[in-house]
Amino acid sequence: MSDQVTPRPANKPATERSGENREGRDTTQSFLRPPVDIFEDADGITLHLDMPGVARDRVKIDADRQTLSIEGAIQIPMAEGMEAIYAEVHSTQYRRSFTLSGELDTERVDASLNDGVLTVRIPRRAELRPRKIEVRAG
Amino acid sequence: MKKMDPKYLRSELERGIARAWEGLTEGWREMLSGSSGALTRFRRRASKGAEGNAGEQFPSWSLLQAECWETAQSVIVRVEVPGMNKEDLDVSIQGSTLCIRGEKHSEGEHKGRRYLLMERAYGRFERTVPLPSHIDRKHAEVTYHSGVVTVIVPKTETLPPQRLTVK
Repeated sequence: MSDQVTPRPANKPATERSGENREGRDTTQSFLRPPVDIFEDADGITLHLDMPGVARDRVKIDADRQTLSIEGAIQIPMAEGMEAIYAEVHSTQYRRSFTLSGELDTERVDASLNDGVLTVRIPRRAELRPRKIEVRAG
Repeated sequence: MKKMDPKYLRSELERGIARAWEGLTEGWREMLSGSSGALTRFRRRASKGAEGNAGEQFPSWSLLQAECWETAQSVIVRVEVPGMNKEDLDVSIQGSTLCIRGEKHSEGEHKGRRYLLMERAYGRFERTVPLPSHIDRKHAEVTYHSGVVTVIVPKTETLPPQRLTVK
């Protein structure tokens, strides 16, 4: 139902579990699944999601301890008397969710939206960040 | 005995791979013609370390969804192209075809950064949208907002069709 996003040690390959196709399986409404880039570094995880046509006030992000859920409503500015020459009928709602590892600090999620790309940054819990250990002399 | 020759085996392997690649691209070509160009190929620039990198060799594709609407006065085209700089977008109308070209830059290689998932396409792309013929392309307006390119082209013919009497 949701994707697995877990920072792993460098020698283990990342796996993504996803049984859904592009349209979600919600019975009341079908959703578009935005394509995502996810990368990790020492400080945390960053997601970039393509959500064109979504305004900032139409994005909903929910993060609890284990799940990150992202929704966005697409708004098409319609002029009066506008008729389609060709337009695919597709859902007007983006939705995708991810399973998060316990290493991530979901209370400090940062999100920004630019040119239809939503960037979400979740830092690793401070106490779990790799730390350089100074070796004392003597 | 010839079949055990490593040179023969390697050329067979290369032929097999070439055939498989041809088959793959044929499949893509069929898909392209079926989806009115919506599935757009993104070409990445060759980078120095690209030879052994499978990611560079395989084409990257993305759906650049497009819609074409009309009002009494104009034709409106919307194409989804998220994450672009305005300066990297090239929009032109040739005859009655709208052409949107551009380059979507990736974040670049960063040391200490490891990708877990990479679904978004980046690189050079081109998307064409056929337009109706009765348009005034000199007065087209283009805006880029929320990752959507909107082109508004006024129509040249807004009068109803002329009825002719059959003698």
